[in-house]
Amino acid sequence: MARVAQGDENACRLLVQRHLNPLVGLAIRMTGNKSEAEDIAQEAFVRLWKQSHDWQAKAKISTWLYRVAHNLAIDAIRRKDRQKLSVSDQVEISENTTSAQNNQDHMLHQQDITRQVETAISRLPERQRTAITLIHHRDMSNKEAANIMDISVDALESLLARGRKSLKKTLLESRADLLGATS
Amino acid sequence: MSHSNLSSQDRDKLTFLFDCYGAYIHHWPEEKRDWALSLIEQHPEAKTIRDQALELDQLLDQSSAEPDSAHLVSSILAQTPAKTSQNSVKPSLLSQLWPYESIWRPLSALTTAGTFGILLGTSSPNLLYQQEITEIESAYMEFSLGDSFPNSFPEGEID
Repeated sequence: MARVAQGDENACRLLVQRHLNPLVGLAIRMTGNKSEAEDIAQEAFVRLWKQSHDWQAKAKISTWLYRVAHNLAIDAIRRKDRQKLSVSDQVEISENTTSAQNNQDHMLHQQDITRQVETAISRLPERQRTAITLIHHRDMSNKEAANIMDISVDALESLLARGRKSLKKTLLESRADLLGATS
Repeated sequence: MSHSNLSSQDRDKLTFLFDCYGAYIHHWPEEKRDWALSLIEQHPEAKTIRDQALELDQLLDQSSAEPDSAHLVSSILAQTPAKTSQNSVKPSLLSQLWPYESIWRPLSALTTAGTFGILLGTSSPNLLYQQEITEIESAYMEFSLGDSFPNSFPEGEID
């Protein structure tokens, strides 16, 4: 981080290359909107650059970035809630779901499985989506994930258990098709 | 491997662990890994519960949630501390000294004035001094001659 503060471009590039895609991924999971997610990830890095001169050595960069991105995504969701969820986003999700469910032929393809899993995840409440993404897809410890979400470990576990239960119900209903295609 | 039944307490705890964190060991809280692994090793029932949780994990693996965002890298790097200091700190130093549009006009005026002053100083060093002496000398001559010297000449003005 000291190298970032000194303006070392290689250090900055390394940080961006390592964390950009996962950050955008989390933000997409939370907001359901790619361009908004990209804005959030960019803003998180810009804040990191600004913070670099006063960086506390004990702070973990990835946790800090995720926390900022998480908070920015929460703000974006609240903003959207105030303006009502845009119709186009709702249509996009329902179209994906319908096409994935109706088109049994394409269920064997990887792309369709991914889409179905994504659709199932997108239907979870935002906090459950975030908890599952941080633990399962970002391999974070429960303490780290709870820290990012600013909740207790018990609350995190509750979100994880409810989220996974919903996903199990949705996805394992078509378990034979899905697992047959993945194996 | 033992064939004893899993206690209901262990079953509940293990089920809760898999419900929360899934079947992958690296997702489990560190303090529970040894305990869970020993149960799985000892009890076939524990292994079955884990295998059921593994199905969902494998499905979740199909979606990595890491979209390719390489097109953002350059714009993010353009805002690093080094780049922003290049773009903003140097002009701000200059603008502190001269907050107007261009600096060449006042600079050339200052240079011209300075050059003129140096030239004047070096080419005619006794000009003013000689003039002062001439005025004093003429006043003294008038005083010495006495005739044309005015009576109203104030004493003490010529030291």
